[in-house]
Amino acid sequence: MTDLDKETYSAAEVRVIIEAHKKEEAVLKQHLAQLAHHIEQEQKKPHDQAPAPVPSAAPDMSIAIQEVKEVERHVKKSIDKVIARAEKIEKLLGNFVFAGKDTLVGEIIKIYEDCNVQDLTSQRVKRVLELLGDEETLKKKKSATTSGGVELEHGPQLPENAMSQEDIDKMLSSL
Amino acid sequence: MQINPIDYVLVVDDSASMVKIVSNIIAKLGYKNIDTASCGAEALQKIRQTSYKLILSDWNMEPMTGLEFLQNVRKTPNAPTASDVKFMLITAESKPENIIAAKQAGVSGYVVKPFTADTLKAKIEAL
Repeated sequence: MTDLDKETYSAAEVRVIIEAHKKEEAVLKQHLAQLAHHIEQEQKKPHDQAPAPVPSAAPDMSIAIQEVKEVERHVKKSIDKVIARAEKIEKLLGNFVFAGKDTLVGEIIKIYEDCNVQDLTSQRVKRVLELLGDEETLKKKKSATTSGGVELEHGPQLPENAMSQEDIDKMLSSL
Repeated sequence: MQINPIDYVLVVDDSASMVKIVSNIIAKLGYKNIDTASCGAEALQKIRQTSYKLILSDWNMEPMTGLEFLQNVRKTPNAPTASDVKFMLITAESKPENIIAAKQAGVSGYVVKPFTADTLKAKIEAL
């Protein structure tokens, strides 16, 4: 049986109990204050340690530049392989004479014609890199401006703006 | 002046792929003596040593453009081919100002990329 279970207390005992409760209350208040402080700190933490803001929708130009250069590198590498294979076929054909050889040679010529795409892609990529502000490309362009005709280098035109071979022939003969 | 299959032809382009493409096509068209250069300076050096009848050059080259190379060919003193060489630009440049500048510099023919072997053959034969 504890003191609190007794039905009657002496005045001295009541004072001791009250004092004991006061001490417990003080300790409890101290704990509550600490808990409140802790909660307050925890509430502040999410703001202090918030992750970096989500990037805006603006594209990362350096990544775009690298991607475009990679496209150019891949096209060049692939076209070089195609040319090498066409040359190998030509070599294998050698001096063989057989029906249909002319057709085969004609197809090889068409492969070479199609490889024009490498140069046109390279020139278009160069223009895109200039627009993206690639320092390496702009530096090259700046160093080349002393050469005659650089100011007339526009590269391949979009189909709706390009002069056809026929138009060029007419213009040349009229000059 | 007609270009014969045995005449010397010089192909100039700073793109190794394009040099191969043009050279292989004109070889298939029957031209036997094909030489190549990867820039205007190298090409100028070669035309001082060989009598080319035909030069096929790109415009978009570095550091010397095809137009400047053409201007240099036309004014190169004592070059064996300077006066009578046929000079054809094979280029993606297709604006009127390019055609005018090329003509003023003395171009003989102008082929726009992408081109076909048939177009190239016809333009060479029309020189």
